[in-house]
Amino acid sequence: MSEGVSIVGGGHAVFGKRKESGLRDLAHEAVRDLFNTTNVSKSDIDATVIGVAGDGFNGQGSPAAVINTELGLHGLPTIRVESACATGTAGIISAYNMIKSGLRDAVLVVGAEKMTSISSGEATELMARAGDLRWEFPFGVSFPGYYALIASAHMAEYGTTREILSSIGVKNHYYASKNKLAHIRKEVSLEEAMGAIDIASPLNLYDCSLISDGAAAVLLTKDSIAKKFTDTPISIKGIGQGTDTMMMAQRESLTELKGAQRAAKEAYAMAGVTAADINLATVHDCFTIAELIAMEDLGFYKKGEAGQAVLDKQTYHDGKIPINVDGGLKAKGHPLGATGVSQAVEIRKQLLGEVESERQVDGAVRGLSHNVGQSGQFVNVLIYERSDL
Amino acid sequence: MSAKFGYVSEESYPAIAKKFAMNIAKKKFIGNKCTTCDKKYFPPRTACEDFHETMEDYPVNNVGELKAWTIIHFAPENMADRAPYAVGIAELEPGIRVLAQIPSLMQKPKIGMKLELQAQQVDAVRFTYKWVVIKD
Ligand SMILES: CC(C)(COP(=O)(O)OP(=O)(O)OC[C@H]1O[C@@H](n2cnc3c(N)ncnc32)[C@H](O)[C@@H]1OP(=O)(O)O)[C@@H](O)C(=O)NCCC(=O)NCCS
Ligand SMILES: [Zn+2]
Repeated sequence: MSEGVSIVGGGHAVFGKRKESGLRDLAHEAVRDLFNTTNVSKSDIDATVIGVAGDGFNGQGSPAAVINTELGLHGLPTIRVESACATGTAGIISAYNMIKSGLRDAVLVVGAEKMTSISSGEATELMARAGDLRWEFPFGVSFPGYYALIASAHMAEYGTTREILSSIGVKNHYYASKNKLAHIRKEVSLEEAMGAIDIASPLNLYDCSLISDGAAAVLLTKDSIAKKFTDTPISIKGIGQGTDTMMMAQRESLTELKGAQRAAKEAYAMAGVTAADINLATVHDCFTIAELIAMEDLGFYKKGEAGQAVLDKQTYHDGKIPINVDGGLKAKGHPLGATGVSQAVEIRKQLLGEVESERQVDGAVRGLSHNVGQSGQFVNVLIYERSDL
Repeated sequence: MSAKFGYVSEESYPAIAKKFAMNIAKKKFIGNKCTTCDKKYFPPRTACEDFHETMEDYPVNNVGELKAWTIIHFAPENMADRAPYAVGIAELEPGIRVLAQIPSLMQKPKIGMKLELQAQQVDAVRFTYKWVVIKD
């Protein structure tokens, strides 16, 4: 078998409403952070993979070319990837494939999105277009709406409550308040979260992820050269992918994402581990209900049992399975194309013991990232491990 | 006559969607069925997902049971003037679930409630269907 692939460095722009920064500036900020914190220089890079989910947010067509040029890497091979909100991990998987095949030795993955140049209503319409344009978009279903449909079914089937969903929001806001890269660094109380204005009921404001600007970057290399860049490469041990129907109405089940279950199964099998071996996870909490069903789809909890675990605070950094202790999409922010790469950067730092002490998971050696495009039309699950221990 | 489907739409109108909307204008809800493997589709498809080509009309029964709901308060920009509105997915028969608005809904929907699919004319050329709560 050919040699493995590792992450040797990560970089991250500050997420938020970044009025003064465009798409290219955010990407540059993330890669600058990577160069400043890792023993990597431009000449080490063989190719780039650039993930941007939407073209309509800032009007720039062909965003990969713009970013590649801004990074001063024009001339090198690049490709753009797009898998809706799972774009970032699609980029990591593409880079992994390039290296694993022997085509390249070191590939830079950049995920970026500039979402706040248009109004929230316009952004909501743009994202709604990622629902089936022919048969479901004509009814005015927003993205929060699709997940609200799932929430209503999960509530009816498993007795999931308002308090459970809000508790996830409270946790994620708490951890974002400790994360200097997060979009909103303000804690919210359970009372505030439970009483917030409805966006797409049963989901309210504090169930929804943020519309954010941001970028993140990782450098992947083949294992045999990884040590040239760092003493502590993070190995990509497992990759799994799954999908589901475009139309929500055609889903076999409305209380889970079948694509996530499949992706998790594949990733665990490839890594030779089970859910019990995972020390922390970053899951795609575009809405609180999405974090709840991820806990079940990934096998951390049986169906219907994740809610009680949330109330018992088992997903805090010192709990049974820490989840989104960076603030998640909910409060760290969700610049679509950047999110999956941001998850990798966060897990790498956690495994190296480099995050803020109030949210550091002690002794973590293996982390899982769960990145969902749309409402399950794309799901990528990756398992990362410290390989120096 | 030409007809469009839904409250708002973007796709330029392919024959299959036009015909579907025209049937709704006549208060008919017609999906289709693969003559080779019997797979049923509602709304209809041009060809079967298993690549069989011959399809025949399949009128669906119009009473269903609510499986999921939401009330959209913050709407996509092009639907903002209609918000808030309720949307539900209900099952007409095993394997056939339909998403539509539930315009008359006054209180919180209840999963399992019975709904009837009815035609709705949106404007001169636009037709859609809606769920109407059946009182029992
Ligand atoms: C829910 C939503 C519509 C709110 O947007 P909005 O009403 O335009 O909010 P604004 O941008 O005007 O912000 C108003 C305030 O609420 C805050 N805010 C906005 N969205 C928030 C959210 N989701 N959670 C908590 N606070 C939020 C803002 O920070 C701002 O606070 P400030 O006044 O202290 O600065 C928007 O956050 C949203 O659409 N989220 C979902 C994004 C999505 O669907 N992503 C794709 C997932 S697959
Ligand atoms: Zn067929």
